Amino acid sequence: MSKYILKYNKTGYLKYISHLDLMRLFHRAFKRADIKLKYSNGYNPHPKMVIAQPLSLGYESTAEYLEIDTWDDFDQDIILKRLNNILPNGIVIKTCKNLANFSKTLAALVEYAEYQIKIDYNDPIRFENLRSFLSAPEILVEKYQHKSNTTKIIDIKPLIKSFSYKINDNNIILNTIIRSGSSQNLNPEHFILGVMKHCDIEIENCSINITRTEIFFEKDNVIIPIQEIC
Amino acid sequence: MINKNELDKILNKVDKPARYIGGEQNSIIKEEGTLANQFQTRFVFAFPDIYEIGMSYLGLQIIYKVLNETEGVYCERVFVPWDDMSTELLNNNIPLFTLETKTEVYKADILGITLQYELSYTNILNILELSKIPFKALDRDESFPFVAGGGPCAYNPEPIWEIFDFFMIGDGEILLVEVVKEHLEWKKTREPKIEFLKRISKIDGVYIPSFYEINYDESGIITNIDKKFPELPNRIKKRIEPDLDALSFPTNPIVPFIETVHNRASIEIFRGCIRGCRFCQAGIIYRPVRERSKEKIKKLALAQIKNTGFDEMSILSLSSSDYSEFEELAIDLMKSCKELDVSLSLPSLRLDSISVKVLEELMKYKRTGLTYAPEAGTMRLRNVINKSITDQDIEFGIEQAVSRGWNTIKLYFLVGLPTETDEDLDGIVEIAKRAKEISNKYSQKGGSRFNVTISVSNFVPKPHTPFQWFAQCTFEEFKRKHYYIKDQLKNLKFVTYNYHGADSALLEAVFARGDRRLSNVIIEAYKNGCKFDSWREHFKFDKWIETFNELGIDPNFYATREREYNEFLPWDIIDIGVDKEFLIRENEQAKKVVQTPNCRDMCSSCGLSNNYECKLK
Repeated sequence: MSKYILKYNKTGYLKYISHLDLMRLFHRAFKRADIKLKYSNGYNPHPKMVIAQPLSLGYESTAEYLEIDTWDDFDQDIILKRLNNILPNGIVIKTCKNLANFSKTLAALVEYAEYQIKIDYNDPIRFENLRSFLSAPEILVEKYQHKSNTTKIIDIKPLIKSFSYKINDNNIILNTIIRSGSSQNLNPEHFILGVMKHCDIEIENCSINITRTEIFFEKDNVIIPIQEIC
Repeated sequence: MINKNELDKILNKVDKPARYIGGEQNSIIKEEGTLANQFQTRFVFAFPDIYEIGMSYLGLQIIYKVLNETEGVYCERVFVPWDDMSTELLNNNIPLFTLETKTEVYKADILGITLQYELSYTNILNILELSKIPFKALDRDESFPFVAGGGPCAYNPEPIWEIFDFFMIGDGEILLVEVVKEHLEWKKTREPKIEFLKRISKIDGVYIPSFYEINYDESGIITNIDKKFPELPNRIKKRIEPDLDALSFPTNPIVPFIETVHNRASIEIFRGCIRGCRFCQAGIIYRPVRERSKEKIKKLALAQIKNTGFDEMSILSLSSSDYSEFEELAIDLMKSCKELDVSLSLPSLRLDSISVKVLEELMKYKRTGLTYAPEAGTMRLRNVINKSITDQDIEFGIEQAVSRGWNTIKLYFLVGLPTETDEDLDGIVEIAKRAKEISNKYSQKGGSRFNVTISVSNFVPKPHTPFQWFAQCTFEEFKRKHYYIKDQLKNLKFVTYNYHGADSALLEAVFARGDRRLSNVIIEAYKNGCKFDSWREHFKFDKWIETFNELGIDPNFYATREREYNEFLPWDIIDIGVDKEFLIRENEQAKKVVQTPNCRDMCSSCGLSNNYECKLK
């Protein structure tokens, strides 16, 4: 019996399949690859396979993490090879690491995520205002609550750890590390709303591409990529 | 090819964008060209409904495989976009495109549209409009694809005759390949499109509607048919492939990313049906019965599971318990499924002892829902429709299931059957009550959660059946029957009752036995906003009636008019191998309330064995 953590990309058209679609895809891939997963106990057993942090529909990612428990022991390379032979274009396993003696789940450890956001806009100079984005005491954004059908004003500034940007001829590329996970979470959509509001730009006029580039846990005030857990 | 950036912009706005992206496991990409491993004939297969519905159609996987295995041919897929996507496509001037390569559908050589149900006809126009292809064949010049149709509705294609260049009738595995091979040859000649149609008119099973002219009298009945060329056949003979084992069958079906109606490995175990239920079109048009061998079925099943990773497998046919070695097959497959951690689904079973033994085995590790189709509430009516299930069979089946712990049973019935009286409807209620009584014998402590679902459909007389002359029940009469049953079931807490709308049944009946004069009705109805007619939330009955009135066509001429035996029927041009005399005999037997034995017990000379080898005879 072994535990592994797989790091994979989710790019191209595959950004349009949901978290659940992806779980089903992996489930079938493991079956085809002859990698038998352990099942959970209880009334409705399911395969022990956990994605560290779900990715929103429409986002690409170069740093996704899947944790699995298998019945047999495998060479890390074998898992990588077999899966990559089977998986469709758009999902590529980059690394596979054996997590011996690791009892916690990755999902619980996630604290931050890094996103690269590309906004196509014909007048990118208007984003120059971003120079002062983090100097304001608060960054207020309207958050729509589905369940109660109301909006709430939230201050997203404490949820932003770092932020940088580069203005090009036809677009702007933002890089940001923001809170992510079960304790505190900032949705990149709200981050973008904050940026737009600060620069007084209508979001409907822009074409936006979001890529998650890393997921972190925190130890002694230092953020560390999830991969380095072992 | 559609620009990826443009596509990205709209995919971000719609529901379930994965419907439109392709790239699924086992989908095929080919390049255009004249090299050996490239293609010259581009075939686009369209299912006239959304992705989730179309991808559950086994025929798609068969056609996809058969065509892509053919050198020089490339088959891609397209489905009807949901409303939100079609709005985006229209607003951004993006024509409908194939899933695999995002190629515009109008660039296809042949656009093949499957005709599975009459209420999908307006969606055919939906596909054509979004693809920027003219609706009528005569309006399409040399630059547009050929539009071809096949499937059960092609057995009476007359209402849609103007839309299609040609239809293919019968088994498609060899027929389709012959047609595309002719296309490859014809394409090299650079001759006009009509020459291709002339070529394929010689192939058995191909019907080119524009080559025939239908003449009507003042009352609307067909008088005769004129052929444009003397060499054309008077009737189009449906294609029958005798050996299913020899036919190509998917071992690598495309695996959808999203959840579709069925997400499972599917193996067709036999084609045709021995029962001869008189209301059932499938039982007549798919004759004769041809089985796949047990060995072949198992081989295909294991290959599909290996190549897909599916959790569920299903064997398909019109009546699976009639497969000659059903018990052995089922138990063997169950064993394999257990080893592979796959669940086995066995739809289309009959209520008899063999099936129940199989179900018992199944129950050991996976409980599936139990569904039976008595169709009629009394033995008398079952004799009329030639459904040989007795009341004892029904009770036995329910008892076997309930005693083993099943507490949910679904029962299907038809209303509006010939000679039906209220007594027959009372019979439906009696069966529900009887089911409850049986379950009470086995109920657990703490109250029974036993539930019977009574599902009622409306009988639509279909072409090529003994009931094809029957006047359908009126709309009002259907409604009365629905409420008559509802009244009696409403106080029974253990019953869930549902019934289908009489309005869609009427429309289905019009097109099922329609003629060429309905062609403009479909086009006008689409222009008036009708589409996705089989979706309750989209169905606009009032718009349809408005359209019929606008065009001066009476739907009752097609639905509720009783035909004479000597009437020239629009679908007589299709020769299904079964004699009209047989259908007349069966209708007369129905009136006498007499059953006809199944084909395995006794041959009733339907006429098929005159020209084809029927192994049951």
